[in-house]
Amino acid sequence: MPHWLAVTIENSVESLNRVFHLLRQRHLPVGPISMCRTEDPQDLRLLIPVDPARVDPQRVRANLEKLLCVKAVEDWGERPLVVRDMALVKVRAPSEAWVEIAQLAEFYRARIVDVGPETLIVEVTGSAEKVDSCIARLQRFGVVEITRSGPMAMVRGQAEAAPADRVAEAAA
Amino acid sequence: MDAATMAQTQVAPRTIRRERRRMKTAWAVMEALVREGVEVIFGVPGGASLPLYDALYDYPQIRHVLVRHEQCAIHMAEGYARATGKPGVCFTTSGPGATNLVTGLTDAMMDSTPLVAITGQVPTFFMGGDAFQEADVIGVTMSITKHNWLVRTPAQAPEAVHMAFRLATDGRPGPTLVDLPRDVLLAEADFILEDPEAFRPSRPRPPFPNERALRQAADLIAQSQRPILYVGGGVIHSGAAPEIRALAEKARIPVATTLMGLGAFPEDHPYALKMLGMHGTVYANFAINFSDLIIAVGARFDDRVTGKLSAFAPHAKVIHIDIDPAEINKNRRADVALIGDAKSILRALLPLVRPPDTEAWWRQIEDWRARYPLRYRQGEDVIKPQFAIQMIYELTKDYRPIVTLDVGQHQMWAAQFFTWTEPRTCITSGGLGTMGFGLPAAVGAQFGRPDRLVININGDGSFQMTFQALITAVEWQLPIKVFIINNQYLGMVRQWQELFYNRRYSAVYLANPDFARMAEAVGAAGIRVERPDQVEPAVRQALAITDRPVVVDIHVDPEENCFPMIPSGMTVFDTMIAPGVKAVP
Repeated sequence: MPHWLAVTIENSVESLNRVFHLLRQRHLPVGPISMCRTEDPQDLRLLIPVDPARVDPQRVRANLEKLLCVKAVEDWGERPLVVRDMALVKVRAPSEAWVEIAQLAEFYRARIVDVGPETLIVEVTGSAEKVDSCIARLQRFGVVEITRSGPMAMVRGQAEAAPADRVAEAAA
Repeated sequence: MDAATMAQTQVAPRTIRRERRRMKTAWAVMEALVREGVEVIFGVPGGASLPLYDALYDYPQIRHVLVRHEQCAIHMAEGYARATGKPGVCFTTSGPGATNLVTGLTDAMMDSTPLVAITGQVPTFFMGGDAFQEADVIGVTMSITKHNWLVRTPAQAPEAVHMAFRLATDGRPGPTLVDLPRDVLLAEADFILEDPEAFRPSRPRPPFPNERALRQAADLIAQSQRPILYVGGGVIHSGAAPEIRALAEKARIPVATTLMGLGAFPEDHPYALKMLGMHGTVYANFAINFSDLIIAVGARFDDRVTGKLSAFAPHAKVIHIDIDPAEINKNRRADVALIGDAKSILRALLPLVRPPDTEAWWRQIEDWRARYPLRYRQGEDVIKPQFAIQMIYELTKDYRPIVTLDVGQHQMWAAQFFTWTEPRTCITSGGLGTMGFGLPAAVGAQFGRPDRLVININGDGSFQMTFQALITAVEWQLPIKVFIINNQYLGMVRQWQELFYNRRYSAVYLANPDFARMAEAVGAAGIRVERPDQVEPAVRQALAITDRPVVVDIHVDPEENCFPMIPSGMTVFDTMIAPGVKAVP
């Protein structure tokens, strides 16, 4: 389970540029970043996995907090999370393969969302491992293309406000 | 204009009130600058910034200093900021004007110098289309400013300018930039002109260190046997020099300063170990490396201080006091981190401090100090650079000069052979090591402090990088004294080639012009010095000239090396005090 920093930023190309620019400039070794919209259309949430063995998460956080476009940084550390990844997988599917693919999809609680003359698009949602596994099973039919959201995550069970508000409250 | 006239033309105290006025954006920008108390702007006009310069015409209370290259403008702004503590301001046009600021912005970022750069930009409807003199200045300067703003509408302009000033001095100081497209500058709108204090960047701020952390720090000090204060430029920014002295005296702790920290602790004090690091004193480097407690204040464990990081001060615990949370644990792990303004933290810490027993430690330090003083040998024929610098110091010290240094051997010798006693009197490019910094910085410092003698110690290589700043100094009749320690080499590079590259002197010899005649040609005074006995009269002659800049070209031993030296990436056990001679603890 990675150590996550949940970073709420202004929803703009410029803000993204500033965050990525900083991470690159400081050579901060972070994992693959996913980007989510939130309850506020003005905000974007970046989920940045950090390996504490390689870099002090506090240092990444302190650097990010220098940016004016960063509204809040939350260190999710070891907190219990709901994590979901989603993939759209286009597989080569002559009609004789449909049944087998549909059965496989059902096994993963995936759905077939497009039926083309030679391909199907399978939508699969779940933990990163489940999505990986589903894609691996689909490989033998011939995967044409994959798009993937990357993990989205949320802390389990707390009824407090979202990170941006929480930090604003703490500051007040 | 001489120093006295300049003092008279200082801007009167400003009255700030909130008002609504219709005007063009360029005028609103000037109003914002007036409200920020800006008294001098360094810059060069150009196509995209024409509206700004048109507005400037209506604000005679702000002096504009026309430079010959934008790099000079930004180093002047840096010199002004470092001498006064107030943000320096520079104006340039779009494209090449703005990109010429890159070195200065990086320099200011590295040395935490507050400044505001205001750049023209091509009109918004041209942006992104490779228009004439268009450059993506926001993109280019993103990593070398604390923040930068592209102003897209008139209404954003005053806020961007005020925020740029707030942010430049908020927390750890640094440079900011406001990019103003020409069509926005020309657009007329209703502006609400505000008190600058109405603008505050809303950023999470770490809480002031709690009682427990302060007590932990005090306990570490009380338990230490070999403590040392490691004092950096942050102490000068914070104005914490009196608190550093109080702490050192209360706990009897020796004080070593970084290059940026010179002046933060008086070097004529018995507790001063002078500068530490690559060319620091042997005793300062021995002391920090054999210490059991480092109290780092406003310093960042730079590689020029630590040498090989993994071997640096292996037995020391660390109390790290810094305003920038991102500095904590960056290079060296802190046992106690106290995040915040150095002055406030030291004030809170001082009452808790209990003096440790440092008797034995002081005996050890005094032994090192006696065995390894800074030294050189002056003969009769050739001027030793250290001798020239020491003479300059001795003959100017009663004036309490503000000294700007450029970068290279002369910088290290001046750091060593001046006795620095006052904050904001040593202005040099530390982090970035920008050759060409010193002369324009002297011009900026003189504008900021017309009441003080400003001298620039320069190298022959670095002088030629921004020589044209002298033309501006002549135009304003600034009585700055420029001393060129002329060894006809890029001396520091030559030294490294001698010591570490088998004397293969590659591209370091400088076929120099006659600097004294160059100075005369632009209207400054020029003095050429070639023999040791000429140094003193030349310095006295320079001090007597007060209506224009003076350049004193001092021809020194071309092959003198700067020692002590801890070679890059090595440890204190590799300290060279002469070629092939090591210092022994």
